[in-house]
Amino acid sequence: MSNKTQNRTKTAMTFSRPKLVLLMCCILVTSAVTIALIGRHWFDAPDFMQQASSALKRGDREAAISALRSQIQGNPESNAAKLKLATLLQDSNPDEAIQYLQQIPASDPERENAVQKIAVLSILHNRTLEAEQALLELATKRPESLGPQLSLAELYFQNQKPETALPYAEQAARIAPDRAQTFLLISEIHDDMLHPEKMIEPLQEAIRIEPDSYEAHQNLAYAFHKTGDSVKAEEQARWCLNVNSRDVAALRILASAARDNGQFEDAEKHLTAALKVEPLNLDCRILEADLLLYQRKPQVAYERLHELYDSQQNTVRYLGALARAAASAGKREEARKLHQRVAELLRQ
Amino acid sequence: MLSLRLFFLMLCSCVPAMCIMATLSGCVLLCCPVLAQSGIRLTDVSRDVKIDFQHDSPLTPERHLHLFMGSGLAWIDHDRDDWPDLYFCQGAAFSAGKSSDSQHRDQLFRNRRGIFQNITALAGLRNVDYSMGTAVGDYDNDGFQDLYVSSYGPNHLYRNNGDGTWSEVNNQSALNDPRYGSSCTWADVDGDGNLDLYVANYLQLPPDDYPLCSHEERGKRYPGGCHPRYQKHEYDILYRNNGDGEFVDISEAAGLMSETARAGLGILVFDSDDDGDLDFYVANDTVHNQLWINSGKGTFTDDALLTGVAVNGFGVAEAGMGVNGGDVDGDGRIDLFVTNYFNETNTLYRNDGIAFTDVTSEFGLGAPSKQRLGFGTSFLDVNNDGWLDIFVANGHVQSYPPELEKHTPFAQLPQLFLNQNGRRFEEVSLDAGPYFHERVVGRASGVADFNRDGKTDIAIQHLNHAPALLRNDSEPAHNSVTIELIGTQSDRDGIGARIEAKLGDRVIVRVCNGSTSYLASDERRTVIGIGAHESLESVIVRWPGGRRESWRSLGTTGVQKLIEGRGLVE
Repeated sequence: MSNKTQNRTKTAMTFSRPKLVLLMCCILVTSAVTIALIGRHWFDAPDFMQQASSALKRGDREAAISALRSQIQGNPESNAAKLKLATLLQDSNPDEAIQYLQQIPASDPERENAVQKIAVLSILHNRTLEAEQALLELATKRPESLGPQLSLAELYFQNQKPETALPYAEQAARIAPDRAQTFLLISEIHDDMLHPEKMIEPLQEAIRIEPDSYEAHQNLAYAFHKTGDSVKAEEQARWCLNVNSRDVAALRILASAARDNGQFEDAEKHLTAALKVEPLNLDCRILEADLLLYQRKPQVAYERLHELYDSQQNTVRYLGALARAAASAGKREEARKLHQRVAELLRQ
Repeated sequence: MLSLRLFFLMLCSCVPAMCIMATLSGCVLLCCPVLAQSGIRLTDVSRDVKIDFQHDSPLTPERHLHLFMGSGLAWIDHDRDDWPDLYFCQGAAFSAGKSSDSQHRDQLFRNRRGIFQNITALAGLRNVDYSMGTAVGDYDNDGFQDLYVSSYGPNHLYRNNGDGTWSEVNNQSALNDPRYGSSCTWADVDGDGNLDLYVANYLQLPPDDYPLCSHEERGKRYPGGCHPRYQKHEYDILYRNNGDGEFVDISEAAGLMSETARAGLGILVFDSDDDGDLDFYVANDTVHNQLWINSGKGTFTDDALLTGVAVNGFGVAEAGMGVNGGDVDGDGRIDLFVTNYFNETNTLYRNDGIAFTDVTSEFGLGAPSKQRLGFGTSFLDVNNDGWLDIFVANGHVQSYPPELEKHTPFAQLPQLFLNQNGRRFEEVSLDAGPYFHERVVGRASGVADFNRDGKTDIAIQHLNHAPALLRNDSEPAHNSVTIELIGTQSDRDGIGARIEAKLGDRVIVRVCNGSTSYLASDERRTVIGIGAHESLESVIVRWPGGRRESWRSLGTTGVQKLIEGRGLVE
């Protein structure tokens, strides 16, 4: 029943997904290379496989690909050739590479290696379905392996399936309990599920592991603020500001906490500091407008918000705030049009 | 002086009576820390005053949603003895219907000078449906308050026969609407002196095609109520009272069907735009709230979005449950307060005349409500200082095994917020008595001065539990004046009338409310706290329809019955 509030401090949620993907790729590629090195059947058809090997030695990639295609054509069961060909095609033609890898049957000793490659390629090339299938296979085979669990959690999270992501993230946390980033991911998943109250424990765990994790402190400030604990939110925001006095998200949380506590001068002071760093920050501008409306200054609120119109005219949250300020300032017709625009954008 | 302090310090472990002694002597700070902090004390006396009701709504393994929504209550002076009686709505098991056991019916408790007696059978009340909301009003202007009860199932209108018995009005099939009714209220919308009836309807949950949902968590599936936003909503109904006993459904002609149906739960009638006629505010679950502005010609237009009360200050439609209205900041305008879902704030909309402003955070009501799911909410001047305070009954709608309830508890602490001279609210729950330390699944709440001590008390319905009756034992006992309006041209109860009480340099504005909170009806009398003053200087009443009359020299504290036509025309 609950609604996701539009002004989530996503600036405070800076969990490094590219890094995680890169890390996962490294893990999977390293595993693949290791398996390849100790593999037994690189060349089970000496003719074309030999040609491919020679071509690679002299740097003729195209010739190697051609030889491997011939090998597969002559011997469709040549899984080693498919694996090798997929490796050569993975950058230039990932779709075809994945197709070859998918042809390696479950009975083949190289299957796991192939599935790892599929997972890596699929993640890198946004082939969600293939990535999911590959990672699920790996996770089933090796439930205690961190990589597949974490990658699945990330995959589902990025594809707006937080409920599905959560158990994999929690399993990853059980496998590697000292990895702070996993707890950050768990907290983000809870945020996406509109449960800020559940963000707190994993974030505290992340801080236990990495006491100086800026992201964890920043996100914890956000979580405490969302759950109405102004005192703790302020504590965490101040920690962040000690490290980075120009942290706009932290300044905004301080301003909000001060407002919650009825300390309006403090709220304005923090807001002014935040807007000095980022004069056009939307969250801060909306908070500023809220305070102006509270002070019964709707015209000023409207004018300040209107300054952002050119850059924010397609932002629902902004238009809603502007509409409310307009209505309070007596501009009913403009407010009506703005609400209509909001409705249009929401329909889209 | 030292020895005196020691004496009072010894009283720290004393009985309440001794605390009061200390209070009277002006040494409360030395004696009782609870009283010293706020002076607010609300004591659950439901058992002491012989209220033996037990709400019953057996939860099913499939978690049928309506079983979690609770039932209402009504303060109603059924026998006109000037003591407010108490009506409790009862739940029912799903599919099996209610049993014939008298405990599984709605119950009426007669108030005999502060002690209650169950007179359900004597009164001839036999409601065996799953009862939801109540609307108390003298629809036939015979001097006796009548009662409408909405249900999951057919709604019911009960006429007060005036001799201690009640009759169900069965000749009005329209009133027995089978849709899922929630809060409902009487209000004279066309100024003809007859009370019309607004019924907020919730969802389409037909017993034979009941939507059931579940969600997965930690690898397990848990049944739970379906998200209301994605269910089929019901249109609300407005009945016109023709004054001859006939009610006509005018919903469509009045404009209530001019927009999509909404999942209505809370209703408040008040004059939003100060034009003399009565408007309706409906708190809807997960979708935009509605503010139906009365044209004065029998038609309504939803102005909620443009006036800022459809959504909260973030532009988000919240899960509205209960609603109440009153002048919380002393500017003479009626502000709105809506209780909402867990992880949302309850929302206070300040009436700025031209529009409303969400001032929830600025008034200190945001943070304390984020981790609560609010249902009933009552406005009362708990310390009689002339400022409206706020009570909120909390409790979740999802009941899960303990491992999942860690963060979102089903039973929750109720809350009391003390108005700081119209500038802000301060939560005083934990100082207000043991009731506020116990987690309950709160639903409806309604206020009355049940023991006639000049202080407003609160009754609360709990899901599947006995209700609470919180007697207001707050000290110091400031003075109050109780106003009872008696309409002659207007409806007899004066529902929606505006009371402006002059007190020194202040004008205290109160509204004679119809139904409020969630599924509830307050006592029709209005208690106005006047602090240390002895009396009000004057009272101006604006009756529904806009007529204004004033009264001066009302005498000292106590009950003042103001009869329409007997004041000075303003």
